[in-house]
Formats: sequence, structure tokens, C-alpha cells
Amino acid sequence: MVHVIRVGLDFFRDLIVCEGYQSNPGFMQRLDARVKLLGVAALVALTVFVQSVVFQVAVLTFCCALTYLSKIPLRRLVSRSLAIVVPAFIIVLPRAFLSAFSPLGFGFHQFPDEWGFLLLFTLRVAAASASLILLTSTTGFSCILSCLRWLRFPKMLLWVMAMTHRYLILLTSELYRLALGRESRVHKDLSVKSVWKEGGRMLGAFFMKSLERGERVQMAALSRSGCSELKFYSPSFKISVGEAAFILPIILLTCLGLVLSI
Amino acid sequence: MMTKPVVKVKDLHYIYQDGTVGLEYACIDAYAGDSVAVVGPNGSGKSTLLFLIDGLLKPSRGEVYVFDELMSERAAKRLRRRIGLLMQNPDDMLFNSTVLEDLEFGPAQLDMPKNEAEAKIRDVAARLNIQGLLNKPPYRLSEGEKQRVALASILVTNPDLLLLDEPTSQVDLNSKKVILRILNELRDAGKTTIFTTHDLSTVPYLANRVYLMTGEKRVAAEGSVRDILRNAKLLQTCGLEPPDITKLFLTLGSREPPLTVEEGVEALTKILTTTKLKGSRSI
Repeated sequence: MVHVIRVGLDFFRDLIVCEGYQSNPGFMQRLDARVKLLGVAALVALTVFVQSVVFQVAVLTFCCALTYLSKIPLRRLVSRSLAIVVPAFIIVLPRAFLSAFSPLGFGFHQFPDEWGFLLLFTLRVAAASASLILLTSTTGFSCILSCLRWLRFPKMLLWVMAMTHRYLILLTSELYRLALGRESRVHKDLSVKSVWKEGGRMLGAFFMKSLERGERVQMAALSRSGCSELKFYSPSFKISVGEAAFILPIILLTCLGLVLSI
Repeated sequence: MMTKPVVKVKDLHYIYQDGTVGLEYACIDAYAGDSVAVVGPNGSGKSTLLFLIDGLLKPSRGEVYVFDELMSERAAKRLRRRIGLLMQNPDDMLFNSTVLEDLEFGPAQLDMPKNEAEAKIRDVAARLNIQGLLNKPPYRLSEGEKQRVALASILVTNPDLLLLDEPTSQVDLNSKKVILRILNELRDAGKTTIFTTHDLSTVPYLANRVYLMTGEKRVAAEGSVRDILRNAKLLQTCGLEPPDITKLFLTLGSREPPLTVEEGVEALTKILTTTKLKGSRSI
């Protein structure tokens, strides 16, 4: 059980913290955070609005190229994207089969379109998630927040995002410690029923501990003058050749998207 | 003219929401440049006392004055800009994605200019030997590293008053040495420090005054480090023991037992030299 929790938590933490890659001397890491954020936002928007498989493949290829230039293993991008793409694919899969049978009894005439939609949808999710994973893998969370603040996002939204991120990291550590403590005192194999029962108890204890932990962390933040409005340092603003090299392909992709949409 | 204390705690009493008494009675004074040790067994209210001084808890009775101002809910936000609180569990202090973000948190809240904060972070990181940890997430650090980073996170704001809750309790020898060195530097720089501990062996290295707390969550005695640590009977009533070296000399009947190993070595050398001169075996 602890092993499952550890693997799950490591994956989850890696997804939200992306340790190790943000300080790599790669292409994306060197870019101005605001340019990066706006560029990725444009990519995500394009993947949503452009209904073309060719376009989604182009965005995915662009993301793969950026991953390589940013010295991030391609395997990491693929595995992280799959964690989002596979559930999305499973959710949308029944649509292909359900629509295949016309309620009016006219056979399978919708079949090819639905499979096409399924492919487009999956590629769209893959392209959007790859873009976002690329952003979080190369940019610190506080940096993203300060960019959002620079873009005049509502303070309350940023505060909720900062808090959520903070407590997600803390609570995953807490859950792991709890599981470890419990496992060290369990000396027999549990039945499936007992595992569920124990899991439920552990979850209850986890919520209680979370509450107590949350209070102490809030106190620690308060003691360091972290009041209602959290502040972050803004990244330095600089536009250079790197930023232009990042933006240019996005502009070309936008043009491609427009051409394909017309 | 008598200087005013940096921290003045008057008749302090605190009860938690569930009815548990957090602190029964405390009266404490700390002057500028003082390094005050609050010693007592586990559960004697030491941490609660620090939280009350920092204004994180509201006293059920009594008053706390910091920098000659009553610690109220409104004043707390302003006064905390000059206070650094180190919590007992460093995990509570480190809540950002990376060590660097954690170190930036305090200065950012104080609106410290970015270049000034960066310089301060570089300086503190070098002093605490954590330069290599800046891009790591806090949960990947050892306990000693976490404690050093937590200490760094308060030092970067350059506080005038330091409240340290068991600063050396969970760390290895190397980290302990680094922390003790830094705290001594701060004391020499005239910063006021109030720290809690139940490990009395560190007190002589850091403190110039000691407040002794009992299991009944009361301040039982106050005095110089020597007066308190040499009083084995008084310490025993509070569930504590003098440092090992002091205990050894007290057991041997010494009237002025040393408080540290270094003092012990000095005392033993003196005794051995005297013994050699007299040609006697007795101490």
C-alpha cells in the first residue's frame, strides 16, 4: 500500500513541482516568463479552436522540439501528457460507439465522423496538456503567479491558486508519512475488505492531520508577514532573440490554424 | 537610565479552544542584545509562549509588549515585520515549491526590492551553507538541511527580534554547529533572541539569561545561565537535568561545576596540574 502511495505521490509531486528541470540551462528556461506564459496560452487556445488533425500534430511536434531544446527528456513529456490524455480518451470513447447506432435505425452513417472526432479530441488534449506541462516544467510556480498578477488576474484567484499549490505539496508529504507510519505497525497481510476499511480510517486521520497542519502552516506564513494578500517577485522583463524565436513559430501556427479553419 | 525591554511579557495566560491550558503563567523580559533561553520539559508551554509573543495567539489573560508596543491583532502585522519566528517543525515553515521560493517569500511580503532580497539570500545561503539546495523542493531535504533553510527563511528578512523554537532539537552535529555559530553571530550583532529548548547542553553556548518553565506551564525561575544550570535540585523539580559535564562535577562535589565540555577540560587540567604539584592522588 505504501509503495502504491509513494509512486502515486512521486508522480503527482513531479507533475506539480517539476523538480530538476526548471533550473536546466535550456531554451524555454531562459525565456521571459511572461512571453512564455502568453505563448503557451496562445497555443492552448489554438488547439481548442482549430478543428484540424494536421494542426494538432503540428502543435505536438512544436512542443516536442521545445522539450528537446529545453533539455527535458521527451519520455517525461509523453508520460505526463498520457496521464491526462488517457483519462480524456476513456471519457470520450463511448461517444464513438453510442453515436454509431442511429436512434432512428439508419445504420452506421455517423461512424467515420465520430472516430475522426475522437482522434481530433485526443490529439487536442495531448497538444494542450503538452504545452502546459512544458510551461510548468520550465517555470517556477511563483513565477507563473507573478506573471498572472502582471496580467491583472483577480487577486482572489491568484490567492486561491497559491494556497492550493502550497497545501497540495504539504498534504502529499503528510499522507505519505501517515501511510509509512501505519505500514510500519501492520505486521500481517490484510484482506481486500480490511485494506478498504484501513484506507478509510487513514483518510479520516489524514483529514484531521491536514486541518492541524494547515493551521500551523498558516501561522508560519503569518509570522513571515504573509497576510491576506500574498506577494511574489516579478521575473525580470527582457525580450531578446530567444523570445522572438519562440514567438515566431507560434505566429506561423496561428496562420496555419486560420488557413485550416477557413 | 534603565533601557526599556524589547519584549515584556506580563502575567501571561493562555487556554486553547478545547480547554487545554497552553500557558498558566509567564512573566518575561528581554532587553536589546539579550539572548534568553526558555527551558522546560516537553509540554511546558514554551512554543505557546513564543506564538503569544509573535501575536499569532491572543492571550486569555495578561499582556505582551514588543518594541514597547502592546501586541494586539492590529499591531501584530506591523510588529511582525521586525520579528523572525522559527517553528519547531521546519516542515511547517517550508511551504513553497523550492527552497529559493521559500527564501523569497518573507522579503516579498515586506516589499523588499528584488535585488536587495537576492543579495540577502545569497549572503544568508552562504553563511548557512545551503547554496546548493536553492533549486531543490523542501521535501527532498534532510532534517538538518530543512532546519537550516527554515532559519535562513527568517534571517533573510533581517529581523531585530528572533523567536526560535527548539532550533537545534532535530539536527545532526554539523547542522547544530552551523546553527550555533550563526546564532552567536546574531547575538554579537546585537539582535535580541528568545529561544526554547529542553537540551540544556546548548544553553551555555547561546544564552546569557534563562527562564525555567515547569510541567505545570509556569515560569518557575529566572536567572543567569550559571545560577540556573548549576541548581540541579531546581532543574529536577521541572523534569530537567544539568548538562552531563555539570552533572559529573556536581556528583564529584564541585561547588562551581563547569557548564560546557570546554570549561570541563579546563577545570580538569587545573585539577590535574595541582594534583601533580602536590603529588597527591585525591581531587
